Amino acid sequence: MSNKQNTLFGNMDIKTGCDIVEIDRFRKTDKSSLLKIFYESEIRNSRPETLAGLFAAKESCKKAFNSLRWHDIIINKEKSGKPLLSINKKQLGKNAVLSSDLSISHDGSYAIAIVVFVVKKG
Amino acid sequence: MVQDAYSIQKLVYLSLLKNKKLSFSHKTGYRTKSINGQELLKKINAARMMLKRYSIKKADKVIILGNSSIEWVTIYFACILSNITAVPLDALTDKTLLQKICRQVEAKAVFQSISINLPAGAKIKSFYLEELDDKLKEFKTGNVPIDNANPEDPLEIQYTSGTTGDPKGVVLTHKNILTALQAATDALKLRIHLKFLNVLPLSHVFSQIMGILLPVYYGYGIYFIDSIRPKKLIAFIRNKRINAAIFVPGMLAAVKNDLEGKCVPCSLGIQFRLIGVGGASLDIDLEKWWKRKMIMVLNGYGMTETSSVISLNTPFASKAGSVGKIAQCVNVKLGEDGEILVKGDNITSGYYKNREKTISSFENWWFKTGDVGYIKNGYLYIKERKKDIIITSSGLKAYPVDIESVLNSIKGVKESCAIQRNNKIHAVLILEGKIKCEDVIKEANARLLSHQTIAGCSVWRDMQFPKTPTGKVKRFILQQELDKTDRHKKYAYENKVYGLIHQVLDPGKEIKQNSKLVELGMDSLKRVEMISELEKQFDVEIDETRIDKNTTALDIEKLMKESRITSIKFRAWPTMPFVRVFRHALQVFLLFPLIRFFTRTEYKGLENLANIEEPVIIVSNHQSAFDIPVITRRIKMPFAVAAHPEVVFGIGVGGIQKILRKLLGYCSSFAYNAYPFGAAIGTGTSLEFTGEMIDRGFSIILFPEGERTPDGNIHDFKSGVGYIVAGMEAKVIPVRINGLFEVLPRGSSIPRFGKTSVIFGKPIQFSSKQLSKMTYDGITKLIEQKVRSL
Repeated sequence: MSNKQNTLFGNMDIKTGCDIVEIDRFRKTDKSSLLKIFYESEIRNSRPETLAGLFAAKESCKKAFNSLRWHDIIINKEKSGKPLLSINKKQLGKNAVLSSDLSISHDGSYAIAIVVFVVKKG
Repeated sequence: MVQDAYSIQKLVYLSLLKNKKLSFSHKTGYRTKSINGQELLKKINAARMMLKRYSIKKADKVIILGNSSIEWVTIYFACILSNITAVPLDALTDKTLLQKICRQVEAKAVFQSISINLPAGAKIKSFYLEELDDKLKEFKTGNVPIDNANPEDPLEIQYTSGTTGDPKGVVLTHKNILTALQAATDALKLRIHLKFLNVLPLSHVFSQIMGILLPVYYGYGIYFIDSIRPKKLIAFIRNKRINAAIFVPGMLAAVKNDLEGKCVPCSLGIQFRLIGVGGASLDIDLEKWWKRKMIMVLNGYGMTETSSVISLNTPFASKAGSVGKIAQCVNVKLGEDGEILVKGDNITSGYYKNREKTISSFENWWFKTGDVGYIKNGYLYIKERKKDIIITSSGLKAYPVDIESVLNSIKGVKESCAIQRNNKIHAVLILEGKIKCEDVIKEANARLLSHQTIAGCSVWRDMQFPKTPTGKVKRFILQQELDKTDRHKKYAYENKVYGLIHQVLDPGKEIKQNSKLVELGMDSLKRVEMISELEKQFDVEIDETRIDKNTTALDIEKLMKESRITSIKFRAWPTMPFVRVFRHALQVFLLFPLIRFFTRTEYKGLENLANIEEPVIIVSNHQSAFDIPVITRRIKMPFAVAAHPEVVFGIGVGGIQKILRKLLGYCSSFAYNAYPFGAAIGTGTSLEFTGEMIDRGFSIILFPEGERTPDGNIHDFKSGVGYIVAGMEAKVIPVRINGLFEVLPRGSSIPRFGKTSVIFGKPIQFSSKQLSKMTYDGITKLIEQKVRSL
């Protein structure tokens, strides 16, 4: 059994992270502290819901990889609206990300994000 | 004279066309954009074409919603010239109010800042001010004749309040504004060229008349800045050599607090001499403090309804404590209870679609200001705003200002506010040190009159009261907070760091030395907020990774002491013309021949430098001490070199090394126009300096490896270059130097003979779309690849 798993995954690994945050907390934040977390392009024309979602996404990435800092993660939107995640590979050490997926949602007063990485262990 | 122009439209048009020195500059991020009057006029014409295209015509209304910017001014002037009524609103306008206003004015379009979200369901055409420049390129910029306006046509509608009840829109006509402007120009008569800083929101009529129309008329250089942090303002005034500014008293006090104990001319520069103040009453001690520093503070009195002018202090006739001589265009009389009543051509005709309010604001054609004052020798003095009078249960009037001045004079009271609670006087205090609020009240009551007796008190939780943009304390918010709960009770911290931590984390219990921040309610978002707050207050840059779940309040205090100081001033002398002449001579007669003697340099890719007009960022690998003259030999533009703060300038090192390195710093500033750039002075300050250099027209030479190569190879670039590229909106030219390592390697002081080559790559222009998908490290890596591949 254990052998089979080895052949299936080899030296691969899955890492996940999720985070939930209250939207209200982004109604009063000033720009200087937002820029400590986000890139200018990320927060342009953003509602509190979006900011909370982005924050949750970044926080979940940080949960998956402890070594990531805020500005190692940048999130864009595809035309369809699906978030597109890119991270700074330098900070991952010997690991290599083969694939990643991110999903963000909000309802009522909370925003939530979940991220999955498929990692090749170095 | 103003009246020669007959109308505000002609005045604006002619001033923009004819005042050669008139310019507008706006600092956003790290860069300052500039534009002169004629260029602005072209833009205005394009904007008017655009308004026409969207069939917005005479007497239609257009909302302008955003912070001060050149685009804001463009739209405002376009509206004036096309006789369209502008509705300028504060960027922080409450959403419900915005909705009400939209419904009331039936605006045809809104020009808004990209960061503002209009209320859902507002069916109105919206344009982003930030994207206006691109939009205007579609329209031709031919001359558009002025759509003449009658003096009685409304120029703008100013909304003053109305979150509760109906919104109050003050209608100001062309005549109103012209009269007010005339009064201002008559009083000031400063026909010399000044650099004029306007930090007030342009949505206020005071800011429009004193901050744009008057400077436009006189042809000043007008400056806007996004930040109102005192430290940023001070640096801006000094670096841009600002002569005059308009402030509100709150800002004046904040800047004063920051300057206290420092050399004022060194911080602001000796050219800064005049401050205009309006919007709220000015404390006489504050005024005197500035006057002692030989900076003239002129305050005036007025309100939106009077187009901001009732009385003015002038450079030639001013009296401390008074709000100045009554303007010629205004008639003033005092009502029964001392209320100031005014009449004149600058007074509004009424509130927009609000007849009741209009009727109740006028008394026999005299406008009721609601303020209590008196006149002495032609000077007007304000006693109190009528609305703020506290009427005690015994029916006697008590003026909060009297009570507050007693409270403020007690040691340990930082700020105070007297409000009415249950028909009694209640004091809200902000305390410093370990003084108890009850003791303050006891002391105050001993000095107050019987009807002014304070019944209760509470300590405000923040370091500052909530204030309106013009610096008035929002008393109703204090009232609401007090009514809601007594949750925020008496925490007075002697230690400022703890006070700040408390303010951000709001833990509901006292912070002690060994209390862990996580237990006080710190999470990742609050951690960022706390760091940014601490950095603002203490001028440091804090490494976020140093704060984790085991950090205690004491650790933070220690961290603050270790953290790097970012309060370093920009050195302007290396950019001065005569220094540049000497530098050029030094290079041509000493450095270039020296280099030519030791090495023959082959230059490739010089054609890439041909069509470059604006400053660029030159990124190169670092082989030896000769790198800079080898590069600069073939570039024709003025340059500045980003240099290591510790190694070259001795920032953050001690002992004899510091003196030696400082000397090295002066030499390199002279020879190469070097300025500090690196982690030791903080990312923010480094980028500020870079922005300032580029604004002054210098291209930046940068060696992102951080040090000379020890083995001749190219080493990893540091991410600072990514921050520069993302923040500066400038082209990047990658440069590769080969062979200089053999001529003068690190550690050797005698050069050898050898051949070298310098390759200039193609300029890289990052579009904002590209940048939005790249991390700072990503940009760095891309540039590193470009340099390597040359």
